[in-house]
Amino acid sequence: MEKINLKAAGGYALVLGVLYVSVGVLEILSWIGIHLSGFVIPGDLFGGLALLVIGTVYLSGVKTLLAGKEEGLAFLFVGAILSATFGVIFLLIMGAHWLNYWLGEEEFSTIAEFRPEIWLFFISLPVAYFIWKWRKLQK
Amino acid sequence: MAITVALIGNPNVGKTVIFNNLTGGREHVGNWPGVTVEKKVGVCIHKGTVMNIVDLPGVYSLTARSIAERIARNYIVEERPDVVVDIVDASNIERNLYLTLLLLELEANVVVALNMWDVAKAKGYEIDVGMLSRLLGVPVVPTVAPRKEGMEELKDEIVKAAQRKEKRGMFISYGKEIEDLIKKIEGVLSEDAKLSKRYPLRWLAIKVLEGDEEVIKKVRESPQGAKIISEVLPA
Amino acid sequence: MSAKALRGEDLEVVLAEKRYETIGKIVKASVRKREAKLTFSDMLDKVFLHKYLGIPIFLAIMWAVFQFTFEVSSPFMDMLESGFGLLGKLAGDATTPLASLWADGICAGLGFIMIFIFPIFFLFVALAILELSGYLPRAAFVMDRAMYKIGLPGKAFVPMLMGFGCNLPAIMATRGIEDEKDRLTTILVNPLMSCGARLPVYVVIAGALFPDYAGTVVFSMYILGITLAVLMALLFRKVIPALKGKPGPLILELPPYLTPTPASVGMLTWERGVVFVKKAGTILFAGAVLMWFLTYFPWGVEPGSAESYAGKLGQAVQPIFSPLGFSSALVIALIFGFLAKEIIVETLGILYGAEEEAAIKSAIAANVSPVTGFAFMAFVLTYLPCLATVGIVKAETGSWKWVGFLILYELLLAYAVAAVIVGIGSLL
Repeated sequence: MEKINLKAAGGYALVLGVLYVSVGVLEILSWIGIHLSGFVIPGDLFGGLALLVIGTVYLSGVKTLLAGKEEGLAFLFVGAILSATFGVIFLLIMGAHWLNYWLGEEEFSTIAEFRPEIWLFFISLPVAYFIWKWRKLQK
Repeated sequence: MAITVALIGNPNVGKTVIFNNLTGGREHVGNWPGVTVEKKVGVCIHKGTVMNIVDLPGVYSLTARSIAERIARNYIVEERPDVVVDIVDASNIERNLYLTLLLLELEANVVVALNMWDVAKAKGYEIDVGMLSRLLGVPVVPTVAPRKEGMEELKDEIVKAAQRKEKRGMFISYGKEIEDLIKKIEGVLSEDAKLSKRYPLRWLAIKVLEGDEEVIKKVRESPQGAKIISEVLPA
Repeated sequence: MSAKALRGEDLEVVLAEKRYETIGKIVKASVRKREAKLTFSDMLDKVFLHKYLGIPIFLAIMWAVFQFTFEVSSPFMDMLESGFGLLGKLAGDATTPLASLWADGICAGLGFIMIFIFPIFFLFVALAILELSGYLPRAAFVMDRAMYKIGLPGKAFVPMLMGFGCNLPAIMATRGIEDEKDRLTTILVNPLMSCGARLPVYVVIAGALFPDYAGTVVFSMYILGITLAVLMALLFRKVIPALKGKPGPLILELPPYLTPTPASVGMLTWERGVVFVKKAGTILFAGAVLMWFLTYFPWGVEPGSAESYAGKLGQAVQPIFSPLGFSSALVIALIFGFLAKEIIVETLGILYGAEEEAAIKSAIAANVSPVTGFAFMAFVLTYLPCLATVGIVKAETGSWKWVGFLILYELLLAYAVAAVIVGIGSLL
């Protein structure tokens, strides 16, 4: 089995990093009141900051990965773990909000509920492949 | 078929987890007779064989010096379990094999569970299980107890071991001088029918040489005992 | 021929050496050691313990935990609440004292507090996952440098974090801190870590007065608590002679990362959560009955009004709190909060005659201004630990002196903080 393509990993980390940082900035701007993306991205100060953190984690690994060093993978892995954590949590929250709606309490708008944290998580899922491959190589 | 299986190993090698894996948590807890040390027994049924599992205390050695060691040793020597599973920490193999060798000297029917296989791997160890098994003369099964890996193979080996009749296990040579002494003591002890039937002669001899309190007490009670004691041990 | 004379050495040692020699040969033939490679745990630690990323990652995770706790527990709380509402109706119209005891005292009062088992439960689950995954010691490590600067030892991190669940076991957990001064400081500021019992208060008030930002408002309370704890720790370390000095160094063994199993998470959560349930069965139940009595008696008065015992009590104490804008209802709730913080919400429920969360929220929205509400939450965060915690502080410090100091400084601090909030609020 060949080694992991670090350049590919680096590119992927770059994409994820930029996505997370962008959405994070949009969420913060949205919270302030500047809705650049229409109303798809919710306004959330802390949520936006959290996305910024995740994005930074991904970006921190880009340079090392593109330089061909395996350690850069650590940032990709942790970034993915954070993506997954946030993704799952927001999925659960969406579920809870839907439950509220079903109980007759509040309104439910799928667009508003399907937060960026969720689809960003889906986009980050392929990192699992890198994790799996890396662990296999270690054996 | 119903057999008794004793679990033994150094402290903190995952013996409890393996015990739980085998018995499914259905355990009965009591005390070893006369002491406040916990005795756990449980049952495991595997391919028609009923295994009565006894959890011996975690020990590094089998001298007469500590209660735990005496309990473990006496159980093996007196109760003669069908199989003794020695749980070895693969990431600390040198220290753990000491007990294994002692068990072989006791002529116990040993199956080695090479546990914490994942930790050893992570530390960079590569263990040739086949070679190890050949050298020790007993089956060796790699396991990762928390993930229940190796449990089925372990159970298979236990059942197989119980059915084996011939003695297994490597023979450690202690060098000519000591081996001569051992042979001499064995010769004298063999005249005591009771002792020689009950305990492995070589083990007795080695213990006498080591100055093991409990064994020496037993030997003194034998008619041949006095002869040995005076000849071999200092006044 | 004596064996001992043979070698001049203790035979036992000789035999042992021989055995090790044999083992050496066996190992040499069957075990090979590769160069130690980076494990997955090491890789993860590179980032989680990163000099600059470590703390932001931790904060982000904690924020997510609070979002989770608040949002996901909400539908369950509603369902349980409806259940209790139905139960209360079993007594029919609550015209007799006994019926009222059932409907208004027990179902409304105690039942109301029971619904908070959900946020507390979810918070404990999240904390259990963090603990069992092995992440918590990393967080401690990362915060240690920061903790050192504020005068707390790194080992204080886990007790402080536990304080988010319940201050009682958290203070007991300080036993791991060897240095006496470190330990005392940690104990003194631990109650500022907002415990699970205060969560209901935040949930209700934030939900009532800041409906769109509830999660964030609750989060801000926790941040406020942390900030106050930090400031107080710094202050104490500088000013109080008994506590002067720098904290001890951190030596921490990092356990390997593990994927927590649902079973282990369940067990840990249960262990911690069952304390809350037991509390509910005893103190809170008694508290609810006591509250009901004070509110509805002398029998026949308007519940919670000026004629009831509760009302009279509130009026007596309220003047102290008028600069803060706390009504007597709020004051009475605070008084009973000493028994257990959960009672605060119970009390408000009974005093406002509200039986459901929705009703109590609208009652609060009607009677309390956002600024006052925020100040009230801050006051609840700070003012003094519950009876049980006071007991444990006495037990762990062995002196009433520290207990007294704890209560006194917290009361003063609470008043000061609330006053500042009210002050800022009036300027906005």
